[in-house]
Amino acid sequence: EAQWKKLVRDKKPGKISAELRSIMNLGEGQLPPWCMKMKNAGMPPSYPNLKVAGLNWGIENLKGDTYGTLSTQQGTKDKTKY
Amino acid sequence: MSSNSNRDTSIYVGNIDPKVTKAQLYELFVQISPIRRIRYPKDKVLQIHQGYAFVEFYSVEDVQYVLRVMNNVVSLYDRTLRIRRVNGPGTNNS
Repeated sequence: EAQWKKLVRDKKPGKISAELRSIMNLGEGQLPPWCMKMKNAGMPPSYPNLKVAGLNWGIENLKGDTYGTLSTQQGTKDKTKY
Repeated sequence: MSSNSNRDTSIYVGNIDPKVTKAQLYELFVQISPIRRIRYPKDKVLQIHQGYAFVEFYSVEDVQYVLRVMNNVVSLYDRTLRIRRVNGPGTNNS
């Protein structure tokens, strides 16, 4: 389904759109609530390289719609910023 | 309707405001894990979402992690999402 492919392409971990932020009451530059749980639980099993601002990534990266970044290990060595 | 063979890799999400879209559910849960598919039923007559969804991931580990960090943690339109295993609470084959 074309719409699904678009979602997969556009929506990435570490970044939350203004639309979703608005309905979950999360301002720009705020850390999503599950990040506190990640402190104890560790990073997600499918995103072992996820960086979250204030946890394992500089807090200064917390700005705008971004709170984290996922670097892809295979293919590109440089950080692919989502 | 919900008879699929992938119950072990799926979660049930409840208490979803009908205004929430499938795309918004995708964007939310992809923060935690890659998603294989989402089923988000609509009432056939009223054409509104029925307040729950099934989100399927790729592994049992993903499900366990999502349960751990997302249950009772996020509110959409001031309604807190409830997350459960698809297998009933009685089953303890983790």
